[in-house]
Amino acid sequence: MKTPSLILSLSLAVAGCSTTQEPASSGPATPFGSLGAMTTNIGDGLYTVSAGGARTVFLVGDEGVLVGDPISTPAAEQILGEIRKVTNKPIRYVVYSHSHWDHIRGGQVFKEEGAEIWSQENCLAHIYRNPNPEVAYPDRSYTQKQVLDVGNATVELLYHGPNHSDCSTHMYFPNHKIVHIVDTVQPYAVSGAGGRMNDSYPKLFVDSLQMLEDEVPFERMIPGHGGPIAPRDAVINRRKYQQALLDAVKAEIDKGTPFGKIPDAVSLPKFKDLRGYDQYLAANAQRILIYYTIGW
Amino acid sequence: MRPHQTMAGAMALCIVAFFSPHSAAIAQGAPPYFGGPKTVKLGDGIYSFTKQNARNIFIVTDEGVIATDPISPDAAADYMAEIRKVTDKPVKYLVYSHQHWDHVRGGQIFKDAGATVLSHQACMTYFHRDPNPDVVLPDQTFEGPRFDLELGGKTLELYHFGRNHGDCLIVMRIPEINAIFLVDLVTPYGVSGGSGLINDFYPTDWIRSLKEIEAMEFDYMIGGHGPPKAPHWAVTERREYLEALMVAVKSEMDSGTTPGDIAGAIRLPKFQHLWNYDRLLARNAERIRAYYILGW
Ligand SMILES: [Zn+2]
Ligand SMILES: [Zn+2]
Repeated sequence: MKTPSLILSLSLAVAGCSTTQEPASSGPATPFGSLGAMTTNIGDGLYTVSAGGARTVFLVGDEGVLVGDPISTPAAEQILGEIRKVTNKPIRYVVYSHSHWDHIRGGQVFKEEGAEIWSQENCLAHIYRNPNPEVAYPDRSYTQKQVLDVGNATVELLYHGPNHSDCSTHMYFPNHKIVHIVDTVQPYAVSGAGGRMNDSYPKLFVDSLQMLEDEVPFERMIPGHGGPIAPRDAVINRRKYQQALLDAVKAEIDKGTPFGKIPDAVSLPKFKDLRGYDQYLAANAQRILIYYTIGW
Repeated sequence: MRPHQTMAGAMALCIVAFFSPHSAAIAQGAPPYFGGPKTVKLGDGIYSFTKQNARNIFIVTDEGVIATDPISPDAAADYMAEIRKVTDKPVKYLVYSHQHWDHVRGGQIFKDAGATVLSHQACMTYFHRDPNPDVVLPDQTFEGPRFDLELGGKTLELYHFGRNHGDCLIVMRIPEINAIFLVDLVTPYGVSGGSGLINDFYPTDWIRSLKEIEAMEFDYMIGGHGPPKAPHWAVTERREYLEALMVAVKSEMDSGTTPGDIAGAIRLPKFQHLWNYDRLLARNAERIRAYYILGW
């Protein structure tokens, strides 16, 4: 039973269940998420790949290739295979979206191709304090903004403060006006999986997305699960959902609703069409209640 | 907005009952301490006060009083009144155990009385990043693993073990009674309580810190929640529970159990006497599963 494909399948399912974001309903649906890599050509050298239960991107320039998350070792091998279908140029950069293992395992595959690994600097503490043999250490890090160029094709690595994690990079492709946002926004969904918003910063989350909207003229986004692409409105909608959730929980606290009853008391009819609303709204509200109780 | 969609196949396997709407306590819960007076004398000039399911200590010396977590504005007023019942000496210090709002709101009354508010330096990030009008900023901080706060011939030893529950928690040792004031890392006799979500804990660093605390010299611990006295072995029991939980979750994952069934499959008979075992074990397990998937 211990075939590589089974192990892979299980790890996909686990990843999908336990990140804050569930795999979206698009993509090849199997009980274990998407099997095999599936690449979408966005145009002008930008591609997005779904593999290993998550989604990443790669950008082909005149001088080389930049890759987003490696996802996992088997997924990284698949992603490399997908890249090699369109170009033989060297892999210059890998950029980690944040520090979570369901996105950043497998970097070694690209490092062996000569890639330099980048992350936002706050990720270093997490990666070094909690080493994982499958997670390659970043070679370089940045604080607020870093532009990487692979030859007439650039990406801006932007840090807008804590949101889904405290080291999430918004990867902006100015030529395409597309931003790659991993886990912080799952288009038109509540915060999914168990709904617990693992490792997230509930209030700063809103500020972070607001900053992204204010500072970056993106028109579309590529998410880190599901996808492949959603309009700018998906980000705005997610920010508004988060704010509405914060406001609703706060209103219940102020009203004196017993804490144990607050999660079920919250209702946000304006957002009832979001994916996962019925299943996870109360769990999302529970997490927000903890925020108001302990500031975490 | 997209129409409501059903969850992808993978989600059907996920735990959906992770969150119980009826959990009463939200903070790091403990067996609720209903019995006894709100202020207990533990030694010569050494007291513990409890309100709103949280607990602190205070130390009376010839030159003034060292107070600790104010809990909330309401509790702080009560706390000050309790201090005034045993001494007229001024409150010179207010020491924060960590940054969470269920422990550190309400310091203003002490500040107004002239107290110096003290925390570990690492807390400042949180206080600045996510200010709370009820939380008074520390006037003084210390860096590094230990600081001895001396007043009127008595010493309160402050120890910092790095990241564990947040990354600025200090354990306070009172040599006169050979006891420690230990907030949230151990809530005696229970599984990790409250919501069961193991709020803001880093599991591996938590275990490491507990080992370091076990090696300290003390006869009993005063918990930040729960009874005023619990034996040294309460720390060991919590550490062993966490280790057993991590081993059980990992081996369940390795054995190929369907991801959504893992948390519910965990059994730790050795620990079934712990308070909240039946109610919260699965949620504790789900948090540990997130650790193995996300590295968080
Ligand atoms: Zn993540
Ligand atoms: Zn706490």
